Amino acid sequence: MNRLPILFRALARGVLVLSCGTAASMAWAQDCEVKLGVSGPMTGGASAWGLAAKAAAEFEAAYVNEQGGLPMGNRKCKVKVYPFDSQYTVAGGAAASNYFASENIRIVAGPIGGPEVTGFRPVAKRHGQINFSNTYMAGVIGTEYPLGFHALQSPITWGPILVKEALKRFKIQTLMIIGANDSGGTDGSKQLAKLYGEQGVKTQEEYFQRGTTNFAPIAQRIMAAKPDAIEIATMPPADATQLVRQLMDAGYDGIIGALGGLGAPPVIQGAGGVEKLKAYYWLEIVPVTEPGVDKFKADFERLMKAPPPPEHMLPHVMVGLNGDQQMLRAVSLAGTDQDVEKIAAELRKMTPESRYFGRGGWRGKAIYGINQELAFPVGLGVIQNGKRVGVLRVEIPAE
Amino acid sequence: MDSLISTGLIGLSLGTQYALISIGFTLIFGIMGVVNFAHGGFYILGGYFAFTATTALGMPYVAAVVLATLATAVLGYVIEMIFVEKYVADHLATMLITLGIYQIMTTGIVLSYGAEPAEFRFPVAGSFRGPGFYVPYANLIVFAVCAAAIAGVYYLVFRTRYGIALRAMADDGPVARAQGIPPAKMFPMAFAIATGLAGLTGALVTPILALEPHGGESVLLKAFIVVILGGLGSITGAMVAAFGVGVIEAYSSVYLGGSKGALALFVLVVLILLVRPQGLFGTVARKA
Repeated sequence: MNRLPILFRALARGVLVLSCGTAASMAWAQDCEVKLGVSGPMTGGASAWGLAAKAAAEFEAAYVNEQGGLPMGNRKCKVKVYPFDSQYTVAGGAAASNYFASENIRIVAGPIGGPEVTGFRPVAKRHGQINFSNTYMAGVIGTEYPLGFHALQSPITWGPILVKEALKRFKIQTLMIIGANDSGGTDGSKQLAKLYGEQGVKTQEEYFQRGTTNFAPIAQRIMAAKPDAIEIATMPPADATQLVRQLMDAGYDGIIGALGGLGAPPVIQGAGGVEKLKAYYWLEIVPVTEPGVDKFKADFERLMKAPPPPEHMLPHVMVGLNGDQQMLRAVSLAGTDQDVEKIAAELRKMTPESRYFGRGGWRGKAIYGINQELAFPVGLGVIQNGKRVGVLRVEIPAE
Repeated sequence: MDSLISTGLIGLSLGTQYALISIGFTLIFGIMGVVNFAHGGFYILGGYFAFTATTALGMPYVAAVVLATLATAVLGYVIEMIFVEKYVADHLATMLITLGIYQIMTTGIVLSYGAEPAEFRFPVAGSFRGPGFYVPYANLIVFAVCAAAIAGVYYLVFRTRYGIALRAMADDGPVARAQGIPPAKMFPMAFAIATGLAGLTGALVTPILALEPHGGESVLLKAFIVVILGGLGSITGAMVAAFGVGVIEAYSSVYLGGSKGALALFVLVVLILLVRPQGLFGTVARKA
């Protein structure tokens, strides 16, 4: 007769022990999850940019989760990343926003390309999504879209400083700007034309059909125009590699500039090595020779158990990371990943801070009428006479 | 004048590449009545096979090109036998099947190699320079190989018993069957030849241009333009149209610019089709 209560007591103890164990192992998760959407081109010629955004978000999620999760009031929530390939198209951008809405995701890293942002913005506004885009598109943020933030400064911000630095080093009187014939190419190209033009350089714009695989005719046009320099900043990396390769075949020995998101590797790859390049200057969207970058690489290897992102993707990963860090900080302070107005308010209040570059700032009021663009330092890389000269750190003032 | 010659050479180079890829496409349609949406996929697979053979297996580039051609041909043969043969009379079904196969191919490539373009370079660098023109050596080599392959296809189709049988199938399938020509043998082989040609083009051209998983889409689009312009199913038409498209594309891109050049090409194609809806060498309606 006494056996039954003993059995019950043993069972009760077992259940207690089991539930304690489960509670301990799930201490960080507590059934809550912060959903971070990532939108960008993850296939095709511009895939390096979208994959970089995805890598940044996955790294940041892993970093936060390693600390036990994102503090949300008295809980800690697991951060989960939801990537979407928006394919560098307007339709892809709109589809990304719809996908995120279907998954109840309201915080988004990206989109990356101008066409994607064009498609994303109106749909995201309807769905109530907040995002950190990463593009050179004109009017990327503005009062019409108060939930749109910008992780990457546009040429209009750092352009005057970098163009001045480039012109100090290279004699450029005529410049041909090459870009794709859609908003991703034309917006950036027109901004660049204005920037160079303001400093006395005669510019000419040359557009190609997006999806072009053979750039021999474009190379031919460049050779016929004989500019002192060409500007290829707005070209996707794979296209830039191809153009440079075919330009070299055509015998081009002029200056190449890329004051945009392109970086050095696509051009070096296209040329067939640093030693083949006579003169190349480019924007480093983060100063890649800073010690913070080495720290990031070490963190990445440890957390992701994989080699750090390749050279051509690294700066884009770090720019994406700048946005992701601010977004998750704001979500934590707001205590919600659903109330986007509250998250936006926290973002506007906070001083942006990066684990790898220190304190930054907000800017954008003068250009966009809204102070929602991150201000972290950038760099100017230079290759001259087949040798790497280095990367110059350029501060971006906050407003 | 300088650019006139160079542009003409670019056009010829483009024309040979378009010809090789389009001949296979039109061959499949002409003989089987199948619009092969996976054709661009075989082109890209050819590139990746050659890339893998040179980088992972350390094979010489020439051997890698041969391997890529054979591998895509064998794959084409198998795919035809397993997926296409059964529905060969149903145009819509074969379109959807080949489209699905293309999606599987590109997704498989993305999973295996990643979404980014592979670093695949032609083993010969530099350009031949003459007075007022230049031609990259790579383009010259590709031109020669493509020309040889096209000549081979011509010989096969117009000078061999197998070619006569293929053309008989294309002209009138039921009559050809009544004469004892077995479609079960002819169709997979025709498919294999076409996909092998696509693989060969991919192995030759992607190291000069770009090797990336979705590169087959633009190739398929160009093949479509060429075969429609040349007349669906006409090998001679595809040849003539390929060179026409290559030369027009080169001249219009160089003299009008990248955007207007692309527009000029499409406008011209539309105008030609308005006058000759069946294409330059096409017949008014396909019998089979």
